Amino acid sequence: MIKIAEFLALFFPHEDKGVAGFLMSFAYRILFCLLLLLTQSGCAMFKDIADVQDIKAWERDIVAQDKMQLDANSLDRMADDKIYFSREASRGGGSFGGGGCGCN
Amino acid sequence: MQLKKRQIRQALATATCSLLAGVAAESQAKDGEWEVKASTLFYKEIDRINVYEETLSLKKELAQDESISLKRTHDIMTGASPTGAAAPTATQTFTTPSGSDVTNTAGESPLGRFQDIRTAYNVTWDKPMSRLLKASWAANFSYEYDYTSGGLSAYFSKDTEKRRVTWNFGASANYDRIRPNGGVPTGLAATTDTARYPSDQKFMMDWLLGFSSVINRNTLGSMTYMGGFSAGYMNDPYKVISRLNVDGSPSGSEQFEKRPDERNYNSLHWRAVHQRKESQYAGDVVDLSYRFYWDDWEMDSHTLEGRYRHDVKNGSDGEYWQGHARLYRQSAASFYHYGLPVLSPDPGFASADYRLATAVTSTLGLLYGRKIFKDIDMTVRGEYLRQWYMSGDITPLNAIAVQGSLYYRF
Repeated sequence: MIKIAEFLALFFPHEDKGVAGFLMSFAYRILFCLLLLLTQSGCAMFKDIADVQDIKAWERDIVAQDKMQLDANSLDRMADDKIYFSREASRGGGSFGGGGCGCN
Repeated sequence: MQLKKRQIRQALATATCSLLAGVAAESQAKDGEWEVKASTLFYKEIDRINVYEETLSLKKELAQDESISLKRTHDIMTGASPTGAAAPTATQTFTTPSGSDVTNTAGESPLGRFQDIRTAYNVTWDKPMSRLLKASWAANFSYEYDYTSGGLSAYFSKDTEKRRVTWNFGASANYDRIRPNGGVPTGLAATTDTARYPSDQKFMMDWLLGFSSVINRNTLGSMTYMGGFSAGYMNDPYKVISRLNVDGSPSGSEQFEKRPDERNYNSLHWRAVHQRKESQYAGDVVDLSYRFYWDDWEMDSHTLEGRYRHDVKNGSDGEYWQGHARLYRQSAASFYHYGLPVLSPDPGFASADYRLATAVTSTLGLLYGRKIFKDIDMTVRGEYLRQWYMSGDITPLNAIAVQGSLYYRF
């Protein structure tokens, strides 16, 4: 548990200045509370995610829905990839990106 | 009648499980159908750059599981970005050779103004090679007045016999040509040095191996390894690094940055998409992912991302809200320095580009989607992004993005 807390602490900058910083930390607190709320019922959910089953062809109605696809909202994801590619030093993920400078 | 046809199509798609190969949700379309995707994005960094982007994608189904698609992206970028120079201790105003006044505010990272237009094209041909193997061949090209990039990629998806697991593998190659405004400066040359050469180049290879799998009736999972290398000109020709006095203040002397001419990188990406079945949340979709990245510039990063979709009604107009949160942390490159001591000799490599610093990015976003006509899906979203830096005294980045998208099949 301490390891998880240490890992999460990596994402929280120590020096957080200004109104935007305050709003962001405020947003984090809300997000954290939501996560906690979710976790109340979420334990069952995480158990479901990890529950490997042999699914037959006729039982795939749910995973075949549009909203379950790995590239749902594809235009938004492409835009995100480009924003992060030009502002962060990492690349890669689940698919190839397009070309371009990423300078400036 | 149209509705019935669509229901039959969806039932067929479900029965054949064609989606399990990780192909686009939108690719449920059958022979002869067109799919149009269009989006407009406005991205604004407070006091820095503005980007206006339009994307148009056309896809034509040629046969069962075979399609050809063309995508065009057009960006207009204006504004300013940090040059890499250290923040001055007192506000300075000076006139550039072109005659415009530039003000560097005390304690704020100095900015360089720029504008650019980028147009990118992508053509993709999806074709089944056998009952269980699909191939996707793609070519991409992008053009900016100071940068041209072209590449080819091949991507294969192989279903196992029971179609419970899909193996994905592929490779891509890219060639870039860089022609900076005013020429390419030599790495670590003083900014007062006027020697330049016209252009330089970079070559990149990426490869990918992974699988997607049906975990259970409500859950899809995927795991992907990506590796690659870049070789050639890796500097940002517009970025500089300051020489610093003993007290840490900028001495006024600056040099162009210099990065290694090779980079090898790796990433591992894990993802799960789960539809909740608890009665009070039934139909809600949770999408979680984690990526670990590492390279031989001694950078590594962790990315945690989550989306939560809630359907407003289980009705006909498909109205839903989707929240988005992303946390990212990277360590600094081995040659990153906020500035170099004024009397020290030149290191082998040095860059003060804030994108190579130890940094954290946080994003919060909200998306609203619904059908606006029978076959048109619409989404609108807003995102707020903030980036902090743990190295030196770099001004944090605040940005907002607003995007509207349409998905149309006919």
